Amino acid sequence: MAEPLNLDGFRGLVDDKLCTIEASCNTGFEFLVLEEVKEILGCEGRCHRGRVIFDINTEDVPKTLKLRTVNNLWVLVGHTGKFSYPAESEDQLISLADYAESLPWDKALQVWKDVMKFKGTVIKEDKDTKVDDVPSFRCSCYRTGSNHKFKSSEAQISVGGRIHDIFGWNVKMKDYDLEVVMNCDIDQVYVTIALTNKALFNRTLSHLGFLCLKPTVCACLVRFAKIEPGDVVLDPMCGGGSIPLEGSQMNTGGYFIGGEISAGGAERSRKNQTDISTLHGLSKVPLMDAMQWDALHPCLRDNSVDVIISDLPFGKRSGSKADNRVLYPRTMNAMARLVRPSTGRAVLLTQDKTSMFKTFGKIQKYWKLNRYFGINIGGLHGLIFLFNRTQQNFES
Amino acid sequence: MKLLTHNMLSSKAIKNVREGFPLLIEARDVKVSEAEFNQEFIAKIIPKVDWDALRRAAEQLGHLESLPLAVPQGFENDTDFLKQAHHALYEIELINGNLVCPETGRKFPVSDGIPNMLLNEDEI
Repeated sequence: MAEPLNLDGFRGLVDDKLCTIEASCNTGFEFLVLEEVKEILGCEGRCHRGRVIFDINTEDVPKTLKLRTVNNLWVLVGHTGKFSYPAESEDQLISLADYAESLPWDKALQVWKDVMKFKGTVIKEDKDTKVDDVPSFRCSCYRTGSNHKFKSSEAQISVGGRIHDIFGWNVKMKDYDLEVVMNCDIDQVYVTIALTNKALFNRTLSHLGFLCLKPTVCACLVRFAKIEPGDVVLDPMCGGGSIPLEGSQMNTGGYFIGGEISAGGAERSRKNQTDISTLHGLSKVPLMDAMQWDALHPCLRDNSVDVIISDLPFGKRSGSKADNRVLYPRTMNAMARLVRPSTGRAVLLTQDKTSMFKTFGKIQKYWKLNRYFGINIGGLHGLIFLFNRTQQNFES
Repeated sequence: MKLLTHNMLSSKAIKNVREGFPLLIEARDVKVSEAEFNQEFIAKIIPKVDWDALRRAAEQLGHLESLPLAVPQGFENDTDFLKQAHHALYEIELINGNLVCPETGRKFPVSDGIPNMLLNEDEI
């Protein structure tokens, strides 16, 4: 929420045929969301911190739910770059409610109704008639800056109250149908309606394990690896199989294999695999396999793998940083035998930056660092590394 | 475990094993499922498959059916061939059984579709 939105060139707030959408992601992955928005929806987005903004045809808004790199979605109702806050706190609250009331709600509400498949009445024909099937709603406020003379909770009450007056919806703080969001910066205010009440990453992991990676983060890693049709993709420390599970649903043309040392992990992978079919009503199995193995003694043929994608132990909840100093280089050297020289690559996520930096020199015969970038992962600063497999054939 | 996976498995990580491929299959329970067919995807994976090993594996699972003896010329556009390859690689799964190292006879158990490829102390 820290930096103002740049809506130059976006017409979703002025053109009925378009909507401006805000899509959130783990910070650091914005460039991958931008890519997915272009590829899957054909829309040109703009990156902000933790979010991508884009215009889409109003009738196509439901398609945004197909995005796999995105955590949450909102449709913009109104935006102003220069909100004039009155002097007194009470007046500030009233002016926010006035602002919300002044916005054109119809299009955004219709879009919400379509996306949520809401069967009731959103806008009453007659304001005063009591109607039973209106949505329940809540108002949320996200605030940045120290110039506001109100708390977020007060804004929620003020704006929420006004919305209740206008639309006659029932207020419900949890398990609501519709969420109105006020975003208040130092100068900027914008109002959105949430198109996701549950984050989009609640889609795959029915058997949550000890440490699992959000499907949206997995999708970002798979996208970053640029899988080509026919690629064999291996996660040598797959845990519950989050990465192969997500990857095998992304229509990349890759074949995903997960290896995991713990029996519990491999079993969870398998259960998650069969559950996906049930959960999504698929009659067809995802193109992946899981096995139990030790990544340091991998049972695959030489040069059989094209891409490694893995979430390495951070050394916090699993193992330790001292273990990582040894584990990281040993794993990468073991993987070197499996991965095709020249074209092969590895995408690795870790929070243990020091162990990784110390690993470069020990693996440089087979792995060359291409690039790395930072992400926010559950409050920790993670790093994603891309390595290219050198031309050097493996010598034991 | 799908046969495409089997086509890549090897017991080479065991001390003194030269190739360790292909692993012999002792099948107890086999399941046939349905996987989404995509012509482009399967055409791209064929060059990476050891076709003889695939045929032998399909036979060991009791599902050789009419799988061709070899990959034909121009296979990229041969939809019938690609569909048969797709079926063998993705749709026949070993659920319970063993995978056997051709050089040492060591058995790797497969249960509930998951091969256990963990090696013992004296094997590494």
